[in-house]
Amino acid sequence: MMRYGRWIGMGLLLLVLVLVLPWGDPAVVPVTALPEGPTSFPGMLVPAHNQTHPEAIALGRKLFFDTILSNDGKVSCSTCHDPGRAFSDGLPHSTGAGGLETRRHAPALVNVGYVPGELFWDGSVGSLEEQVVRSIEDPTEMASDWTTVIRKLREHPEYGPALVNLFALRDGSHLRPMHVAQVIAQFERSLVSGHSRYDQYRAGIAALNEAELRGLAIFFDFEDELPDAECNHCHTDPFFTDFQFVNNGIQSPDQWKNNPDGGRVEVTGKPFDRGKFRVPTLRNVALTAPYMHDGSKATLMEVIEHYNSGGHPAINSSVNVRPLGLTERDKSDLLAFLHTLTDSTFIHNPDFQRP
Amino acid sequence: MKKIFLFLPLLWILAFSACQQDKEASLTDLTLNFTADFAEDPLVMYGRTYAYPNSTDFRLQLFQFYISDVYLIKSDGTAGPKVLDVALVSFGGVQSESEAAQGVSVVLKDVPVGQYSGIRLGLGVDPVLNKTQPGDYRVDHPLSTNYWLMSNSYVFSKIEGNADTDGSGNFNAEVTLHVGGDNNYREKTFPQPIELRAGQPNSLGFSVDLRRMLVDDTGKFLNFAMMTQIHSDQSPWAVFISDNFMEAISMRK
Ligand code: HEC
Ligand code: HEC
Repeated sequence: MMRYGRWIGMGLLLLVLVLVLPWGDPAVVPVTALPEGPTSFPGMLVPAHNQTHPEAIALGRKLFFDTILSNDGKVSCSTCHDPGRAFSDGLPHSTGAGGLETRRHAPALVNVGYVPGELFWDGSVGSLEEQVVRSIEDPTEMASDWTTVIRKLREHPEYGPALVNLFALRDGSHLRPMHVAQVIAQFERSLVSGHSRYDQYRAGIAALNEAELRGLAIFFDFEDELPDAECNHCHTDPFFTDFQFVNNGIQSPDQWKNNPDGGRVEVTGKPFDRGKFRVPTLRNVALTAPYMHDGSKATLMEVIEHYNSGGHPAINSSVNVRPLGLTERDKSDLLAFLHTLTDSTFIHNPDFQRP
Repeated sequence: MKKIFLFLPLLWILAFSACQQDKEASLTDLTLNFTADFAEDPLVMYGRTYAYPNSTDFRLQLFQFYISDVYLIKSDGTAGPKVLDVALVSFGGVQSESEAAQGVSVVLKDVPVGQYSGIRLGLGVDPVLNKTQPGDYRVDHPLSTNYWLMSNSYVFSKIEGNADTDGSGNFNAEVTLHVGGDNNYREKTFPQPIELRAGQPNSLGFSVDLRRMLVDDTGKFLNFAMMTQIHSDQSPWAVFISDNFMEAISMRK
């Protein structure tokens, strides 16, 4: 009896578990469906509470392109994050649904799911999910409010039932901002770009021309005879960012005193974090002009001139940004190299277009 | 079919939960706390100027290094349990004296309790791990970054700052000293009785004198008027820094 008692007890426990845990529900069984980056990419961190599911990605994509999220019904996420521009918008500052301008330049969304720490130029947003929650009520973006958005989604013939079904909610009254945020965040995690000509060159399946190779060597400091542009200290392979916050000398000393945009200091309160911004990726950078947190550099050549000059001095301006003494040829080769980071499969990926 | 696989771990947990409890009693947490100084003074980034040989003033922007392959040493002097694969110790965020005093902590979980006669630290990334690449890890792992494509090595340590070599107050020299490569990996054993007990905080303190990494006991020093950059493994000055690291790091009392 003792022997069987133990097994019966265990069996009962398992039975209870089967009944309690929703094994069969597609919304809870995680399915990995993110596009794969190249093997050189470190693995992405996907939050345990929002495991990837193909239906969620598909729904997130629809919402990303839908103006239903904005108060005037005219603005969607894609207004400022356009797939044809690697999910940027070509403007120094963007105008949201309330007619107000964004404080900073809209960054490209390229491999954004890989960012291990905080998002935004100053790191003021903790996660992709949190970004969506804030975007809806941001007066310079969707300029709406969650009560309205949830009501509109609940009443929508497709979105209401789809969200209820996906999260196994009892009914639409249980729909919360977090559900909406989760599916959009899943779509954003799928925005993986790793098939540029540079990647093909590294994988040994494509060649770069002489100018591009010379630019690569200048970027990475691969050859002693060529000048070293120091770029790879911050824009490191494979993401072309090390995700750190640094001052690359964009703000002038005058701006430092008067600029309302303190960058990282606004988050940490540490005095020497003033003027620091998160190093952006350079993948697809040829498609994402204008540049920098304030959109102040119109072209890549202007950016290269900025670095060549050494940038504006400041006590925390990085020692890796200093006058470089590049020749015209060095600069144009560096430019040619930056163009090899364009991934045409990324911007033309049918899964990333307006559905 | 899938459901059965999901149960297997549950069964396993049920079956082993009893012995798991015994095990927990013999494990504990161990904190390795690192502080950094410049000679006598606490090391802070940006806000402080340090006197350096040759009438040079030096101001820091970044100081970081990897430690790896950390073992406790048993009483008989042989290597005991391995307690850490690798961690990055960065003082880049230290901007005030109170942050400097707090230091940078690496918390080790599930360390076997007991009496040990010391601890061994790998300074840099040990040769086995140094064969791996960022693509082998997730983005939150210390080895997902700081990789040097050209040398096929992680950058073991970085020292970055501005030096005023001409007394002008302009801090004209941008100093970036990056050291990596298997030849620059070092191991240091700290002989010291260590008693780790369960249910109480266990902590070991280490301090690094950054000046000692750049100036050796004979007075030989890295002259910023002559050289401001090391980005390589084979440079004799990279080796100089690595050798000095062995002397610069000590266990706090
Ligand atoms: C009116 C333009 C606008 C709209 C609409 C907009 N964004 Fe943005 N987005 C921005 C700007 C500007 C930033 C940079 C904010 C900052 O750093 O302070 C940004 C930043 C982001 C980031 C952070 C990227 C990074 O690398 O840190 C993500 C993710 C993002 N937006 C996603 C979205 C999503 C999802 C939506 C729709 C819910 C959306 N955005 C709608 C302008 C916009
Ligand atoms: C010290 C770190 C550092 C170094 C070195 C560095 N960058 Fe940057 N880079 C940054 C930061 C930080 C930003 C964003 C700054 C801002 O928005 O104010 C940036 C922005 C850029 C941008 C704009 C990207 C965008 O989406 O707006 C380009 C292009 C760029 N860098 C190229 C380069 C090139 C080429 C080099 C080498 C000549 C280089 N960087 C060297 C840190 C660095």
